[in-house]
This record gives sequence, C-alpha cells and structure tokens, in this order.
Amino acid sequence: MGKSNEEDKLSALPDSILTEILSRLPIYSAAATTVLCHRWRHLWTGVTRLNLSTDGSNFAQDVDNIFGQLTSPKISNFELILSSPMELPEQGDELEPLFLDIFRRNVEHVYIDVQCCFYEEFFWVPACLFTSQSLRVLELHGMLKFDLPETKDVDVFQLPNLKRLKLDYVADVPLCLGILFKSCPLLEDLDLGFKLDYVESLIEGPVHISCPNLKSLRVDLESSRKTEAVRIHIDAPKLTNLDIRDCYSFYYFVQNPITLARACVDLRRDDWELAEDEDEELAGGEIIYLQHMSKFIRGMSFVSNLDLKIESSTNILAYLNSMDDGFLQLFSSLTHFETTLNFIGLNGWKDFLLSLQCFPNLKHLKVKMEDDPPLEHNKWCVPNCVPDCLVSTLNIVHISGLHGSEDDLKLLEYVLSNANNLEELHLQMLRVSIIEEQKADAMWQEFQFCKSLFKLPRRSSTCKILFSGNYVTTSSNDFKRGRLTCQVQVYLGD
Amino acid sequence: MASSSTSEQKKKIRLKSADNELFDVDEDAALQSETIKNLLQEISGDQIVPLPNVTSKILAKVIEYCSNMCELDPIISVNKQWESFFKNCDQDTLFDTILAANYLSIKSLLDLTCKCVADMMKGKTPEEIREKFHIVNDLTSEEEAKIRAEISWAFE
Repeated sequence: MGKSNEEDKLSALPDSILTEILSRLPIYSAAATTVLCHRWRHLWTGVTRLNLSTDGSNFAQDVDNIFGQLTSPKISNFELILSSPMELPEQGDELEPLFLDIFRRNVEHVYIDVQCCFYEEFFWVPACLFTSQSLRVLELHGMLKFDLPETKDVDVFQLPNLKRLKLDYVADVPLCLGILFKSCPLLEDLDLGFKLDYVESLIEGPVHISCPNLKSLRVDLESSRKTEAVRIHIDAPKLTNLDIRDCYSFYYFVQNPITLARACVDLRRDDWELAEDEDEELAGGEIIYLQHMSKFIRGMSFVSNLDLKIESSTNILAYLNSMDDGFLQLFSSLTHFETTLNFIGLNGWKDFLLSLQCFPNLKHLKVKMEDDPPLEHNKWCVPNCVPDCLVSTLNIVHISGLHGSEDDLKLLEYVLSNANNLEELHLQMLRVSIIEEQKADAMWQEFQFCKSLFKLPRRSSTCKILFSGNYVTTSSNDFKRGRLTCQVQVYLGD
Repeated sequence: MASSSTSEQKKKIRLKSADNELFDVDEDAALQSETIKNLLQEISGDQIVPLPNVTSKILAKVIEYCSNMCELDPIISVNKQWESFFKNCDQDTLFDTILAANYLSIKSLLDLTCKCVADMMKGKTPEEIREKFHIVNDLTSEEEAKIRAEISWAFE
C-alpha cells in the first residue's frame, strides 16, 4: 500500500471522470492541464461545464479560442464572470455565433456577472440566450444590456423549461418584461432587482407577472418619485413566498394567492427624500397610493407569516382595517407578524393597534422602531379599543427601539394589562451613543425604567419580561420584593 | 456511524464487497446507488448484491456516506463534513471512492469527490499539479513548448 503513493492514480481514472473533474475548474485552469503529459493533452476540451472568469483584457479573442475547441455535446453549466473588463465588444453581434453554439448544447444553468470600471461600459447579452430551450436557471447580474430585437414578438423569448430567473440590478430592463415572463411557463422562482433611476429604458406600461407555476417572487425596485410609478400585476396562483422592496410602484393581485404563506413588504423610503419634502403634507396621489397598497396587502390574507416595513410617508396601517369595501379583511392564518415602523413613533401605535384587529389568531408579534423620531411623535395615546389577538392569542411580543420614556411605560402598561396569554415580552432599548459624562446618568435612568416596568400589573400571571438595554440586561424574574438584580455592562472608552 | 436507533424495522440490503465482506445496509441508503437499485431489480428477494469492483474499505465509507445523506440533518452541513474528510484523506482513498461512486452511480458522491480533486488542482501551475499527483511528464521539451505556445491564452 505504502509505495502506491508514488503512482499516478489520477491519470489512471477513466476519461469521463477526468473531464468531470476538469469541468469543475475555471476554464483557464482546465485548459492549462493540456501540458501535463500526453494523457491530458485533449481532456479539457470535453468539459461539460464552462466557467469563464476573467478581467476581460482579451475577452473576444479568448471566447474564440475556448468555445471553438470544446467538443462536448452537452455544456450543462455556463458561468461568465467579467470583472472590470478593459474592452468589450461594441454590440453582441460578433460574439453571437459563438454563444449560440454553446447555448445550443443543452445548457441548463447560465450565470453571467459583469462588473465594469466605466459607467458607459456594458456587456451585451446575446439574444440567443433567451431562446435556449433547455435552460432551467438563468441568473444575470451587473452591467448587462440586452441585444433584443425591438418587436413585441413573442418569439423573442422561448424558455419553456426555465424554473428560476434572476435579473439582479442589470443595467437595463429588457423590453416587454411581461412577455418574457409569459414565455417561461414552468417558472417557479423569479427574482428581480432594478435601480430604476439608472437603467436606460423605463419600464413601460403595466408589467404582468403572469406565471402559473410561480412559487417564489422577489421584486426590488429602487426608484425616486422622478420616475413614473410602475404598475405590477401579479397573477401567480401557486405563489407561496413574496418579497417586495419598493416604495412607489402599484401592485395588484389578479387573483389573491391562496397558497401564499410568507410575505415581506418593505415600503421604507430613503431618509434624504423624506427630509426633502417634509413640508408637503400627504398629497392626494399619496393617499391613493396608501389606499391602494393597503388593499394589496389585504390580498395576502392567507399568509401565516407577514413582515411589513413602513415609515411615516408610507404608513398604510391606518388603511389596513378600513372597511371601505364593505368588510374587515381578516388574516385568519396569520400567526407571526413582524413590522418595522420608521419615523412613526408612539403616535402611530394607535393605528397600528387598530390594524391588529385584522389578525385574530396572531401568536408572535415583533415591532421594530429603528429610528429616532422627533419627540412630539412619541406621545402615547390610548386607543379606544383593544385588539382581540392582544387579549386572547398573543404569546410572544418583541418591541425594540424604546426610549425609556414615561410614554413608553404607558404603552407597555397597556400591553401588559390587556394581554391575557402573554408568555414573553422582549424589550430592547434604542441603541444610542451617549457622551462619556452622561453615561452614568443614562445607566441610572435605564435601571429606574426597569424597576417601574417590572412593577406594572400583568394580566397574564405567567408573563416574563426580558429587557435588553444599552447598559442593563435583566428580566422580571430578577425583580423580587422591590429589589432588582441585573447585569450592567459598562463600556469604557471605545 | 450509520444510524441504528430506529433502523430495526427498516428493510436491509446485503451487499458483498470485492474481498467477500458482507454489509447489511438500510434500503433507503443503498438505493442512493442507481447501480444497486438496478441490480436489485434483476436479482430476487433476499439475495446478496455482489459488488466485485469495490473493496470493503471503500464500501464501508460509501455506505457511511449514503446513510448520512438519509439522515435528517441539513444536507449542507453533512456535505461540509464529507468535503473536509475527502480533502484530508490520502489520495488512494479519494480516487478509489471516485471509482466506486462512478461504478455505483451515486451522483452526489461523485460530484463531491470530483470537486475535491478540482479544488486540489485549482491555482496550481502544471509543474505543481504533476508533483502533487505524481504525473510523469512524457512530453519532450519541444512538444511542451509548442503546446504552451498554442494555448498561451490559458497561462496569462
């Protein structure tokens, strides 16, 4: 056994295995094995996966060299990674025949990522990619443009086997997105990210995401009010997972997805935009947007898990339980609700608590207030009713971003005095940086806040309060006969 | 290491290695091999499945791998453990496992082991690869120079 160490067991493997090994190497490394010995001379040309990762200094030439020599009838994976290429072909035309040759070889996975140093540089995605019948996964990232004929002809796209499509901040929106989606009848996973202020062509007209087999949809549209609001119609009866980060577009469900289990909708806008038009009160258009989006959210009434991130200008909570279409939409399956309320403060809790009326079976509630709204936004005001779920079903509540104020205490008093079945109340203070001289004071205030907090009457006798502050970490179990023992963390210097 | 607690009622398959050692394997583990699946269709009932191309040492490893894949642990973490095993084992074990995975037609194991070899080659010059795997260069220096010139783009 010992001396076999000196044997060349690698070269003794059959050709088919050696090409499988070479298929897992970047193509330049695979090609370099041609000089190992006679045995390895042509093995690399049989690779079944093509991983071309280059800085692109001789991109067109290399493509010519490599593609022309590959002999395998099947290239299952094609991965192209171009990092800051110095020169790219002007238009796809000259490379098109080469790519066509590769994509015809039953390609199943295509991943293209191009990062350019110059803003004006693009890589033209060859049109033949979009008629690749065997394609199952297509992921495109970076500075890509599409070399597609400008017709509304359906034949431009033929992706009958595509299951996953990801367009990740590509430099241009392919025209007629809706037609693209429609040409992928098996699509299960769609992931779209666009920076609308930067892409060349705008998204025109309503976009129809009409996919009978779609299970997971993620849309991330970054835009400012300067671009016209996009309308997105979702017709995906098998949708189970929805992720949207977009604060201007109008979304519609053609039919409410009854299989939807998890949804995350992020309607937060950038701070600077907020500051820009602070003076403008909600314009008519904004109210229409809020009403529309709350209607869209109500269409998700089958979810068990909902995450809603909003801020003062996109606060749809006030509209969520509006009965303008005749009835209160109940989310009967919803057990986990998470929300981020930015720049809304305690003033917004009235609407928030009212909106909880829509969630009669809620068990876990998580509220994050990650910002620091102006003081006048942090006034607690007792709502005139108590949501049913707070009284009867809520077991675990997390609230983060508290200031430790009197009003915070009133809010917590309201929660604790109404929640019948609460088991755990997790509280986290807003993370703030305080100058050295005021630290002792802030620490003392936090300590006092905890003491007052633990003295509050609790309707649920088994409820435990867990507190995590800037200095103090403690729980209601540590509070006995008016004495609080707790961990205090002091940060000395930096 | 194969799970034993709940496997009492599970159907067992009896495999025989090249060196005539017998292995009793849970059916769902054994069926990860397309070859065994096909052999089982050919032979009847409780017969022994002969695997004349796999030694007992390697077969034991392969069975351990297949049993792990059937367990409930997330596949990713199981895969990580096996990846680090193959990266650190001797070359004989690695290449014999590749041959066994190929013969037994266990796609995930073949994928994993081929990837391990590729990772061992990655970033190395041809000279370093020859040394690592004891490859004898049978090209004359003229031949090698000619090939290098032809494929100069791969060395940039």
